[in-house]
Order: sequence, then structure tokens, then C-alpha cells
Amino acid sequence: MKTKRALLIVVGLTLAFSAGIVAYSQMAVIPTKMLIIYCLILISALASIFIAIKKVKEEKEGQPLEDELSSRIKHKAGYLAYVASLYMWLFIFLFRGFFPDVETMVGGGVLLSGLIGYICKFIVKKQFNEESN
Amino acid sequence: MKNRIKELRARDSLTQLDLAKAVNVRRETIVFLEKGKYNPSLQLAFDIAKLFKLTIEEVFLMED
Repeated sequence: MKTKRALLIVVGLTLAFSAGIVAYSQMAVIPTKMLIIYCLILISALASIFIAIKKVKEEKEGQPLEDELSSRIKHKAGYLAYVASLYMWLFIFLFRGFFPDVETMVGGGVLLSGLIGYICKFIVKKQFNEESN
Repeated sequence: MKNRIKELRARDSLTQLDLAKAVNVRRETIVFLEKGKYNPSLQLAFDIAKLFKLTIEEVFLMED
């Protein structure tokens, strides 16, 4: 039930966000840099929806949401994402001229951290093998 | 480490999901176990062996 509510919130937010972009684009031309950030937000929201749908389906099947393997994958992916995020922030500060203001830079960094987290989890899951035990 | 989970599951006509539910793990974990890509915790190994009414050594085989 909790997951369903979370799913509805995420779907609602995504739709509202998309509608906002469309409405905004009717008023003025969106700068490319902002468009990239909007796309990052949209990708993060879509990934959340995809994961939430999967979790709801698994919950219905009676599977636990987390077990020993999934928590091990999460811990390993978390470590990788942390290290990757450190480098990402370094690059963000090196190329800070790319961002129009500090808020956009920090917001973009936070979004990229989220995406790095998803990517790391995906990679760890794919590469999980005997050596990683 | 090899295991006989797939064979034992077929013997007892259990699906991966049935087994996963019985030992309270996700189906994905059973998939990784059957492929030999994941070594389970002692607790999970005990639970699986108990479910099949066997000992751990009869389900999980150590390779040289």
C-alpha cells in the first residue's frame, strides 16, 4: 500500500513536471543547459516509476522487498556510486562555467549523483559473480 | 561452489518463485544461486537444505 502511494506521487509529480515544461516552452525558448537539467530530472523520475512498478509487482507476488543478495548489491553499488560522485563533483567544479548559477550547478550535481547511483546498481547487478562474494 | 538447487526444485515441482517465497528471499537470489554466481549465507543454505529435507552438504557441493 505504501509503495502504491509512492508510485502515485511519483507519477503525479512527473506528469506535473512535464506539463510545466510544455507550458513554459510555450512562453519562452528553454536554454540548452536548462533543457539538459530538465531531461535529467525526467530520466530520474522515469527510473523511479519503473523501479516502483517493479517493486509493486514483486510485492504482489509475495516476494520480500529486500534480502541478503539485494542488500549486498546495494552496499557495493553504494560504495561505487560514492566514489564516482566524488569525481563527478570535482569535474562539476572544474567546469562550473558551464552552469548559469550556483543553484543550477548544485541541483544538477545532486541529480547526476542519483543517476550515478542507478547506473552503479545496474552495473553491479550485471557483473555480480563469484569474485564479488 | 556448485549446488543441486535446480535439480531438487524440479524433483519437488517447485518454481523459482515458490522456492524464493519458502525461504523468504527474492526470486532473483534463487536465479543467481542456481547459476552458481552467488554463495548464500549459512542461514539461507540451512533454510534451503531444510526445505528439501537434506543436509547442507547434500545440496551445496564444494569444488576442488
